[in-house]
Amino acid sequence: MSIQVKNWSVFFEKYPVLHNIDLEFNGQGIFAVIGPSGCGKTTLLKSINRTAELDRGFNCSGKILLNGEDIYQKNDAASIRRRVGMVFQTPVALPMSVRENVLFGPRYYGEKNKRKLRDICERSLKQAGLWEEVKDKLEHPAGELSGGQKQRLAIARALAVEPEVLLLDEPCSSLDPASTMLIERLLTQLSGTLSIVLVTHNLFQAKRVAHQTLLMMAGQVVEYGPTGQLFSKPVRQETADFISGLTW
Amino acid sequence: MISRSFKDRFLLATFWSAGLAILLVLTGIIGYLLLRGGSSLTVEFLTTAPRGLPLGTSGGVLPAIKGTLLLVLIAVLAAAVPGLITAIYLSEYGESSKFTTLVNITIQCMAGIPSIVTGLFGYAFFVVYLGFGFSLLAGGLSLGIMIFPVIVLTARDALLAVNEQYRLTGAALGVSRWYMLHRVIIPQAAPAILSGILLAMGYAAGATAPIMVTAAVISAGMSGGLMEPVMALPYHLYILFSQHISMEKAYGTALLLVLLLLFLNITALLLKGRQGKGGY
Ligand SMILES: Nc1ncnc2c1ncn2[C@@H]1O[C@H](COP(=O)(O)OP(=O)(O)OP(=O)(O)O)[C@@H](O)[C@H]1O
Ligand SMILES: [Mg+2]
Repeated sequence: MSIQVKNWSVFFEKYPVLHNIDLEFNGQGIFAVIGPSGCGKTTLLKSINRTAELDRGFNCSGKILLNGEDIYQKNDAASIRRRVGMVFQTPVALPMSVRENVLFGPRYYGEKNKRKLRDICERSLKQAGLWEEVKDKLEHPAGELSGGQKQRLAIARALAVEPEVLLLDEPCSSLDPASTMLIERLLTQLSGTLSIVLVTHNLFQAKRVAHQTLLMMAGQVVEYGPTGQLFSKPVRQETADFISGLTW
Repeated sequence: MISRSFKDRFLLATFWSAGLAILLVLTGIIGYLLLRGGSSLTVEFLTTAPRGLPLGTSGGVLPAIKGTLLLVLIAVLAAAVPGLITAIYLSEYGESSKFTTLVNITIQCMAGIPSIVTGLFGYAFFVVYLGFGFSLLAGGLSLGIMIFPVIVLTARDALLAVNEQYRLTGAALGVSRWYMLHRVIIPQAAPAILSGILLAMGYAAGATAPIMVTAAVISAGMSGGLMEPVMALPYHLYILFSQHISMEKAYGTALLLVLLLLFLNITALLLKGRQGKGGY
């Protein structure tokens, strides 16, 4: 799945948040987005699954293409959101059982076959690395899970509708190192079959898992390229400063 | 540091005494009512019609109990559904357009209308214009207008209090707002919404002004017809008391009314405490 962002700008009311973003992310693997707080990472991510427009005063110009198709062309945000899953910074467990959390999307999209639903539940939880921990408490309220488990549940819930792209907004920022490692390993596995865009504040995390990394500042692209290159031989001075910790 | 902790303790003491004062006032009222009216609150009082001359000096209040229950029932039937729809519109779909702001202000103003004014409107509109006459229906609908804003405001706040992250999570899956509402948001808000409806019912049960001019009479049979006038507890109390018919019966009626309201309010509180609990 290729993601192309062309001359993309976002405003809230008249206040500009993203300025003429141009970037291309081809195929599978993990694409990390780094940058100082408030530079527009979340807004960029939410633009890619059309949830940014839910916020008041949203305005945009430019194009975002998924496999060459302009996702803002049609007035059908829901089908884009189904294809582009998103996991948020704070782990969210919907107020229902673990199983119903995972099946929330599939049920909405009309899956009624019990066998299929059970298979989707098991497959998604396995993909999210949560199956072993919850297989005996699928009927328990999801609120009982730990933070790290909830975050993996959110990943399972997103995977259950078989998205082509998975967006993650600082998914580990409220988790302990062990849970973080678990999720990183998971993302690496998942990146074999689906495109992943990962916003992170943790430069080491970007270094560990990302094939490509994008540095943003003040709503603009500073530099992006293969992760190794960005960290070892940055082209721009801002990048060098940022990764050496001078500008955060 | 010393002055800080003194201040803290002083404030704490103030809050405590405020709470204590409220408790004392409430128990005082109930205690006094028990003292004056407790003896008249008998099974016979609850199960017979008023008798004697002037009417009410003996006998009970059964038609008034029935009338009040019917009035409240009609008010809730009339106000709950439109109130809920308005609340859902305001909390989920309204964003913050000029129209929503207008609706919000209107509801707020409606909540502030004195109940006697609502009564006069009910008289002009239901009793006279629509030709319902002095009736259960006219009174119930007037009470419905009175409690409508209460239901809207409590339901709106209950819906808005549901974790915003749920809505975002649903949206990010491509799930429609309506589906989110009926699977997540409304079930989460339900206890608080019900609690608001119960409070509104209590408000309607105790209101005298709107029914005085639309529905309530000194004596009515037990037919319970929609187009018939009815007796009602607060109005009966008002008559017993203002016409010096029987202070003892007046206190008995007041006690009954207060117990009914206490029951509704305590149920409402218990329900409200359940919002969002239990993981589901
Ligand atoms: N709904 C909104 N309305 C108005 N301004 C917004 C809105 N969302 C974001 N912004 C503004 O846009 C800018 C970028 O926000 P965004 O959340 O995309 O930053 P971020 O890079 O994700 O920051 P962080 O690292 O702190 O999460 C910020 O200045 C923010 O105040
Ligand atoms: Mg962010």
